[in-house]
Amino acid sequence: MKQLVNRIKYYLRVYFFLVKFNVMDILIYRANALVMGLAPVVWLTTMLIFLATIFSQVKTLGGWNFWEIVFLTGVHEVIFLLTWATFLTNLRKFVEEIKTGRFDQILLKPISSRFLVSFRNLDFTSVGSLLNAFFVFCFSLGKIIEKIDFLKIPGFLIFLLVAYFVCYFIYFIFASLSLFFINSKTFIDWVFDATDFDRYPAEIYTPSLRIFLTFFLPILFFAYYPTAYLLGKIGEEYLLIGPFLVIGLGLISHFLWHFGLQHYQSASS
Amino acid sequence: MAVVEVKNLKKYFRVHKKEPGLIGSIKSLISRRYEEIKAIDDISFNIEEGELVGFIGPNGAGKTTTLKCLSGLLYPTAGFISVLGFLPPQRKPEFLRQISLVMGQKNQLWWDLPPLETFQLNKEIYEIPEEKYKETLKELVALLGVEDILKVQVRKLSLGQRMKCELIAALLHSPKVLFLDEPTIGLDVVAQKKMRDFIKEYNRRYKATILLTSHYMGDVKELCRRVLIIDKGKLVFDGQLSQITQKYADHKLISVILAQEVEEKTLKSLGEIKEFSFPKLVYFVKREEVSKIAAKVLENLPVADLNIEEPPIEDIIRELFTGKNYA
Amino acid sequence: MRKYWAIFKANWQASVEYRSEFIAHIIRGLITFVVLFFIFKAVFLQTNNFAGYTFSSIFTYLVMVRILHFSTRGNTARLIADEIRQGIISFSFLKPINYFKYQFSLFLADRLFEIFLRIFLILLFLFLFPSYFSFPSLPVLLLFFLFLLGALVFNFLFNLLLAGSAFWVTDIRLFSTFVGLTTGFFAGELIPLDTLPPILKKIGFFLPFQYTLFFPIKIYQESLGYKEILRGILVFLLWLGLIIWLVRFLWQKGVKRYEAVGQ
Repeated sequence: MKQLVNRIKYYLRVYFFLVKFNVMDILIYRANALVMGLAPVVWLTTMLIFLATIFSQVKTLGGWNFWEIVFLTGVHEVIFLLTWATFLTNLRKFVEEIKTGRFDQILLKPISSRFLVSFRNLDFTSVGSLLNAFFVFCFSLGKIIEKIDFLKIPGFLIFLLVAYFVCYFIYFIFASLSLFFINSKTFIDWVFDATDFDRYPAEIYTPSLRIFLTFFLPILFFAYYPTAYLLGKIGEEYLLIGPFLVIGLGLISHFLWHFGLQHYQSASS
Repeated sequence: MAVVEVKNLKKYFRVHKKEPGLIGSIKSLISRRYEEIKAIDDISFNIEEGELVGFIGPNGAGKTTTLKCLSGLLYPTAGFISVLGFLPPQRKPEFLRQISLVMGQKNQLWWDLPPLETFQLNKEIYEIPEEKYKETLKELVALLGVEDILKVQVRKLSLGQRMKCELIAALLHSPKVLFLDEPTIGLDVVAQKKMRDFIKEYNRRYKATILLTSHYMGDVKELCRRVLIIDKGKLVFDGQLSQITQKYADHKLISVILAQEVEEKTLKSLGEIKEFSFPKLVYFVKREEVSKIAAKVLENLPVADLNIEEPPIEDIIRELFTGKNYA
Repeated sequence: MRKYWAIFKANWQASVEYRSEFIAHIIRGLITFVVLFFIFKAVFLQTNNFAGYTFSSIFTYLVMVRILHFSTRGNTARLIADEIRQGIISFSFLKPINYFKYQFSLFLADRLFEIFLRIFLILLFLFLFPSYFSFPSLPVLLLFFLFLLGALVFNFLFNLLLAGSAFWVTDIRLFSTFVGLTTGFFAGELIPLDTLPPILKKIGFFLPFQYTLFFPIKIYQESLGYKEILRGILVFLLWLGLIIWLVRFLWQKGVKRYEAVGQ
């Protein structure tokens, strides 16, 4: 037991150090990075214009009204940007490092290579857009607040936590593929594109697609399920799926990483 | 028990072959032909604590692959490796804390921050106690002479300075075994010497076991008494550097300083000339004929000075690699 | 001419190198398309007329957007900007080859590769969903291809313009994404320009980006009269002229600056 506590303390220490490191890095040497994160803002803006145009012609989409979908977009963006800040860029860098051979340096350290690969940098370029997305989130929240049952908020928060971990494991699984195929950057981009499905109410998809996006590539858990739950569009049963999904994905991710490393250690030259 | 034990190590890679041209590239989409490359083909050796051993061989001989197997980055295809009593590919933290691998250009220092920051990060990762860290850092910095650049961004440092800091980052945790892959590559002559001096001193002071690979003879001559010569994945020689000369050189050199100018024809008639730029003249002579030719030279030429020398290691090894003199 | 063919071949081969990249590549654009398909399907459950479009015409529009996207848009800007940033562009200048023509060969090779990747997919698609898709008459089709070529050239030039800014700005990556999104939006990538709110519609019809996507598709869908087409061609040619001049000007200044800094 004490061992476990010590291990946790060790990882926390290293993580806080990494955070300190990254903040210093940004503040001292890369302040311009904070300004450069404009792209997601433009993306969000074009998304909203798109939605507005659609809704200039119709009243609902899949049973959701305009502000409900904007709120969904807000939730999606906030979660996405949080994952961007904490691990997404690292995973992309990891895929690059496999190609250039710099990954070896990480393998040589007496610390979980998975931990280092996932969390060694905080990407602050997302901060500007995070504020923007958060604004959209809050504004649209204001417009739909009457529809929300406050008893659902704890469930909503649990869902958000599940969303973060599901996102992490899915991306990590696809990043681990680069231990098998050297050029799998496209796999991560692939997942990233697939998250497009999560910006809109899943009611518009065919049942088989919904099942696929719930159980096989569970990206609907990023934003759709949390939001749908909060707005009362789906029942509590879905809350139960969450933890199982996280555990299941966690296990798959763990074994894939393990076998991936073995493969890398056999085949890399 | 030996610090490093290697028994019948084999490491084979499968690489796919592609035919050139447009047609070839489309063909490669459908089916691929694989070729097996024997990077390491059955080598065995032991290394004791505190040894400073050199692996030499031509490019692609399997040196880097060997180091990667020893440090656990690669799984062997067959055979047994043990380092400090551990099986390297298992990458146990206790093992990783006691070794270090420095690979020429692939560095671990964070680019935008001063080296000191990477050092502190490593301190945390390796769980080095504060006092020990300060002490080790002081010693290493003094040995390498980098006090002023510790707080300068890595991107602004020269290659030599960066290499020094890379070394420090790799040695902060006082590894018992140090693997150096081409440590002097890309450095200028002065920096090379400094690097070699440092390695020698580090080995002497801390009794660390050091394995280095190089294709510069200078590194090996300066640092290693024991060398392992690898060629095409096979261990061709394992022993003292001095033995190579005795065992493999069937030639010697007679080096002459001439007192007067002599016609080249005359010089050529006495023996095979390796080098001639007045007044220095070097003959390439078979061992058995050394006394005979030396006598002839003294008799027939205006000799100011005469020396009988062993051929340089470079030449011997080059001959070894071109397959002339394997025992 | 020979050397450009060689460059073309080499780039093609480089693209074909990675098999896993292959399939993943194709699936990417497909996902965006599928999402939009479902959205509009849901829209047309409630109305028969979306700002003048039927489901069939919107569907055709979306398919054409994807086709035009991969056959005319490229990332040359980023490639060139990287060369400038790393200082390697000097080597290219030293070669006995026109740099722009060289980049254009690369660009073309890329585009052809992208088309090659998707030909089977497109044919399969047309086979499975013939009812959703509509074909125009031959002369219209020819005009459409002309505009496709025009779009290709325009996009390439625009890439050069973007890349040229790398002589002043160190890292164009994030702002090039931003520019890409904006120009794509005003080209009609997300939704047809004529469905946008009035102010945005006006901006879209003023800017040249419509000619790389929206305008050709309108031609394809035979929604434009002779006068409009003629006017469009003229305005597009003017914009082309302007952008050629801008690229020349920017690069002249840029190369001077680059050499002055002593890269």
